[in-house]
Amino acid sequence: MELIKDQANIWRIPKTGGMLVDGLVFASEALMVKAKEDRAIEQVANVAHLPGIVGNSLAMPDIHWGYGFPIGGVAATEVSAGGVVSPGGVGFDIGCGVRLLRSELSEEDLAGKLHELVGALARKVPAGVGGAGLVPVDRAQSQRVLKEGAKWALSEKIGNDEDAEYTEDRGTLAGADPRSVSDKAIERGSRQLGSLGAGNHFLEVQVVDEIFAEAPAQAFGLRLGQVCVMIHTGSRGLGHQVCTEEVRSIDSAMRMKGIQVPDRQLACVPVGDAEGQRYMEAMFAAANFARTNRHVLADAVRDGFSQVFQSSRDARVSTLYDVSHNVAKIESYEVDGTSRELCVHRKGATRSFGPGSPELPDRYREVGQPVLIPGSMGTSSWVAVGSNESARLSFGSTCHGAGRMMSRKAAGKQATGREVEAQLGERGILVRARQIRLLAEEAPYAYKDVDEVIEVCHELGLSKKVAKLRPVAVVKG
Amino acid sequence: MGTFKILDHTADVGFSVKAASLTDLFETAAQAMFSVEYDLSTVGFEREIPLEAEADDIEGLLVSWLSELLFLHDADGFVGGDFIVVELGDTPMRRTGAPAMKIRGTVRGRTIGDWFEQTGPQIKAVTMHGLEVVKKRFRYEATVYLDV
Repeated sequence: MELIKDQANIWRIPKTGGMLVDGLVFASEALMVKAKEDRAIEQVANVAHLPGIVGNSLAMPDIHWGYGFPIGGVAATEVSAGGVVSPGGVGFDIGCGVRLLRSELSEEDLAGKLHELVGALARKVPAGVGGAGLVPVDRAQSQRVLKEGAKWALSEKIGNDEDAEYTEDRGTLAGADPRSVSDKAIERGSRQLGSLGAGNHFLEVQVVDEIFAEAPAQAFGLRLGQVCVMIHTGSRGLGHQVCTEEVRSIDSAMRMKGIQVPDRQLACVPVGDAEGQRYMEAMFAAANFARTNRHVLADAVRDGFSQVFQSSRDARVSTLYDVSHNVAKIESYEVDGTSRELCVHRKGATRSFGPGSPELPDRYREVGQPVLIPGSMGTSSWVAVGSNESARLSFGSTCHGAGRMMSRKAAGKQATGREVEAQLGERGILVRARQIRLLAEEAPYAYKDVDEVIEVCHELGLSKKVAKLRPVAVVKG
Repeated sequence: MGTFKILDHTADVGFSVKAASLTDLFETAAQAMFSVEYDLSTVGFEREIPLEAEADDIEGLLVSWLSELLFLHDADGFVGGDFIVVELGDTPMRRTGAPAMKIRGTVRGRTIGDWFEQTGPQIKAVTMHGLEVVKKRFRYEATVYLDV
């Protein structure tokens, strides 16, 4: 496949065969070497086949091999021109994302308290494969969670108004319809509300290590040495089941409609068709479930803090922001000089709205949206700020993390889970994992360098660096 | 019993299966899937659960069958160690628009607790990426990728 370097950090895959647009990959020379090692680039070209796609089939710098879409893939289709929605462009973990909580504490306040705090957090936050969540909901309540998202949690006196205010869409994605979510999806997921899950999901205690831009840091309430907590999880089994069923039924509908795509996992139908509408309603509902999940977990973190720190100031934990990186939404962008309504798929990509966006809470409107980028376990995470350049380059999107570069099997061969735990300990990072053995698969060396991913986004203007956060403790499934 | 091999994927996991018959292929694929997450020799049998799945074609049927097993795992904490396909083939008296293929089988296994040791990553879903079921001269072969 031909890959042309357009300019620094931008690579073009020229349109060939059934591709409707060019592919565009944002990557440095070093990141491109990694991206070419697996089938990720081929997947960018495959996505360019989606009917109604506009602009380019895009990949963020953390691109890696996914299923259907590459991870780090962004594609926008024009709704009024028969543009499609593809469940594979959102992924199985619908609404998966990151919530960052800031505390009033400084790193020195953790001295002698970190073990106790992490113990409290690990007890409060259910993690691992099975296991019920903190608020297993019945059928009727599930319907409300799916429809109302964070509003439901507030009505149950879980969390506070700020938790919802500082969440994408203020915690509730309009257009969600629980009637489009199957009984099986509700059965599979409803008991898991308020749980972290396994795999790359985590809860981390972090310290603000470096500040790169004062104004947004101030608006976000971040200062040097400050203790924060990052939560990375999604819609659990509920989202997995919604996607499983929707891929199957859309695959079937697609063939009846005569739509052809190069990979069956790219199954798609026009957004405006009945099947497309039903998927959007179900996907939005699952995204509401994901936000509510993180909302509930944030409240559990608050509980953990107040158990360990007696003064109300020390125990205070507030939501800085919550943003998804697996979702498709209807947004307007200028394409070829006219504003068009597009279905923007972000599969492992973070929304990155710039200053002035009406979608942002008042406090952040002047500086732009907080962009939350988790590093791999044991490496730094980042807070960046959205930019208006992203609207021009990437349909308001930026990277979502470090991006894997080593398979789980290969990572497992490098060291055992216990060895990885010890290595992290030597670097001052406390680890609490339910399944120690699986730590090996999530070891830092299995991932690309998150700092370089962030740098490329910064240079291109997809998002701008604000603060670097160093982990001091990790809780995993 | 067929054989299976775990395939490397940067972020996820795949497996390929070889078996003498389609029935065997589906049974072995179920073994392969749960082997990604657990050591099946330690699961043991406590109860047997009947299972059914439908799809438009044979590849889709394999995904549906594995997805049903995954649903049991996620909804009930049930892990299968032994899989038996009772019936597999075209649906009788096809109605227009109804799925063309059907599988019926049973799974024997046990409900596990949170303490049960995982030997590999949690499986979120069965994907259609790179999905293949091929009939060779003397056997069937399949490739499946999982989202983990």
